Amino acid sequence: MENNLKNSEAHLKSLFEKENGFSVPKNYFKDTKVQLMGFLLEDKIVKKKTFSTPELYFDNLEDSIITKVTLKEKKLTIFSFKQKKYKLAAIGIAASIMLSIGIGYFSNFTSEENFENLTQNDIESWILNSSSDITPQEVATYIPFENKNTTDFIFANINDQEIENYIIYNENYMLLNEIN
Amino acid sequence: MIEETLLIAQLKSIQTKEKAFRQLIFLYKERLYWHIRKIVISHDDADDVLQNTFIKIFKNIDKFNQESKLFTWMYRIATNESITFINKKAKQRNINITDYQQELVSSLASDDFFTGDEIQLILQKAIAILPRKQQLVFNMKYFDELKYNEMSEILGTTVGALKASYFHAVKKIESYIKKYTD
Repeated sequence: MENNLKNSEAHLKSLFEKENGFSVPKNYFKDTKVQLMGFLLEDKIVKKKTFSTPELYFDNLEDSIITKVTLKEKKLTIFSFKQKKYKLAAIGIAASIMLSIGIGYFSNFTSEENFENLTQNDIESWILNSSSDITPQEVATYIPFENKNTTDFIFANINDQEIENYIIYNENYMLLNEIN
Repeated sequence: MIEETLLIAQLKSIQTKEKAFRQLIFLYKERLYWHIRKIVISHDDADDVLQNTFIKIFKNIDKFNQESKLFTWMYRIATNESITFINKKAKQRNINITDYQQELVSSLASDDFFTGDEIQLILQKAIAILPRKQQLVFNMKYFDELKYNEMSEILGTTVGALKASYFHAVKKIESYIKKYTD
C-alpha cells in the first residue's frame, strides 16, 4: 500500500512540472517582509495623529492664503539712485543730509571743493563712512514727492538669490514670501 | 467633488482662477499641511510652508502639464518647499540638517501642539536620525499611506528603490525603539 502511494506521488510529480499550481505576485515576499515590519512597528506604536493645530486653524486658511496671493500680485517699489531720473534727486538728498548733519565736517571746504564738484561716489562714500546713522527712512523723507513714482523701479534687475541672501542676512523672513 | 480636469481648467482661466483656487485650498489644505508638518515639525513653520506651497501652486498652475495627478504635483511642491525651508533654517543656524532636526524633535516635549506620548516622541526622534529620503518615504508610506507608484511620481525615485528605503527605514526605527523600550 505504501509502495502504491509512493508510486502515485511519483506519477503525479511526473505529470506536473511545478510542485503546486499556485503562484504569488512578483516581489510578493519582498513586500511582505516590509509589510510585516510595518505591522510590528504599528503593534508597538498606535498610528495616530500626534501633532495638532490651533483651534479653527483650517477654517480661515482659504482667506488667509487668497489674501497673500492677492498681495503678492501687487508689485514692490524700489527706487534706484542709479537711474538718471533719480540721480539729480539723489545728489540733492545727499546734499540736504550733508547740510543738515555734516555742516561742521564741510566747514573747512576751499572754493575748489564745493558740492558741484562732488561725485556720486564721494557722496555715497561719505554716507557709508560717516559716523551719523542715516536710515533709509531718513533718506526717503528727502525724496521730492513728485519723484515718488511707484511704477518705476529696477526690481527685475536683481535676481532672486541676491534678494534671498539679503533677506536671510537681515533676518527679515516676512519678505521671503515675496520672492518668486 | 469637483472633477480634477474641470478644476484644473478653471484654475488656468483668469475669470475662474481665484474661485477655483479657493476650492483647491479647501480640498487639499489638510493633506498637504500634515505632510509638511511631519517634515518641518512645528506648527508655525508648517503654516509658513503651506502658505508658500499654495502661493507657488497658484503662480505655476499654468505650467502644470497634467502628466501627473494634480495632487501628486502639489505634494511634490510641498515636499520641495519643506526641504528648502529646513535647509535654510539649518544654514541660518550654521548647523547641519540632522542636528537641526534633532533640535526640532527635542523641542516637541514642550510643544503645545504635540499630543503624543513617550513612545510617539521616541518614534519622532528615530525618524529624525534617518537620512532625508528614508524620512520622506517612511512618513509618506507609514502615516500618509501613499502607494509606492504615487511616491515614485512625487519623489522621482523608482518603486524598487522606494521599497528598499522603506525597508531600511523601518529596520532602523525598530532597532532605535527597541533600544529605548527594552
